[in-house]
Amino acid sequence: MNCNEIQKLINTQELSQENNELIEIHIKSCVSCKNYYKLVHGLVKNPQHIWDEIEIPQNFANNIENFVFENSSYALRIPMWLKITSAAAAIVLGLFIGSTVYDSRVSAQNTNSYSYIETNDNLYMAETTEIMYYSTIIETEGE
Amino acid sequence: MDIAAIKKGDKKAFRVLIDSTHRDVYRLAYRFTSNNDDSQDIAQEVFLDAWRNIDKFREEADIKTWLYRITVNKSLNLIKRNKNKFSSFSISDSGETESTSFQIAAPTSYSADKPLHNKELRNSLKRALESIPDNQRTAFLLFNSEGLTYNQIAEVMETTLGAVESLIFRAKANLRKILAEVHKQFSESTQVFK
Ligand SMILES: [Zn+2]
Repeated sequence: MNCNEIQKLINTQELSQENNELIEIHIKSCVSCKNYYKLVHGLVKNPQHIWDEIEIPQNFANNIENFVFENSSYALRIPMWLKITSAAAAIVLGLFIGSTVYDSRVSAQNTNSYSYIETNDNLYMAETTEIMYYSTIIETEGE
Repeated sequence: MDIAAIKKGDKKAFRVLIDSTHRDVYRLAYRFTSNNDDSQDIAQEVFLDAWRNIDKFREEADIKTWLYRITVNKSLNLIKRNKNKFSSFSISDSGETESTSFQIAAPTSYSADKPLHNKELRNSLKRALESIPDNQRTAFLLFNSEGLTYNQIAEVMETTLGAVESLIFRAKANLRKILAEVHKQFSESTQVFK
């Protein structure tokens, strides 16, 4: 068998034992086809042995821990129950303040005085907490 | 792993999670980026996101799968941002090559009559992987580098088992096609590639 025929055999997804033997005999004396076999068959079918050893940077777990806790302010790490409770409290307080403003305006009509009540933005902090979703970037194809 | 404690804001419990998973996160990021600094940045960001969003993690799921998902997304996003630095050759989702001129940086010194060594094979595979669609590369790496089962890959990629099988099958077919072409070009030329 010549090199072209051998390489066509190597392209076969599942090699029969007979073809495997033909290839093995050929690549013993043909470096080019041996390279082809390594690249096209071995590398794709079983690349486990090929990956380089990865060295984890020194103190990496410490670095990650520091990075996480230095970059996550308390506001971003409010537990869900607290967010819900705060939101509910904000609504109740908003209603209370709203009704107080209304009452004071009604009484101001009588006394010709005006009161201005400043709402506290912090009450709404929970609503602005960043929400991140990991919607998959990997689209399933052929569906 | 005490996920409930992490959800309550227990930093020690989170450190246990970091200790037990940071190697896997870093390694997967490295498989995508082939760059130490990028992989470190990605791993740090992955854990920061995990800490910030642990509320959204369902405890019955596998936390490692969740971390892998974040790692894949961050790695692919970074690659997208750096795209100009990467090979201009790519293969489309349909498996058709979009360019006939290969720009795959190949074995450092390849000639048809010289046996290929592991380092050269590795570089060829890395370059070929950069040229296949993101989802095929992801499935291939999760299976062949991380040793995940098809079921676990489906969970990471939020897809079906059948889709994973198909992705890996097509990844292999495309890699074969690209690597065969690489071999052909090097066999035809005695040029030394860098
Ligand atoms: Zn031959």
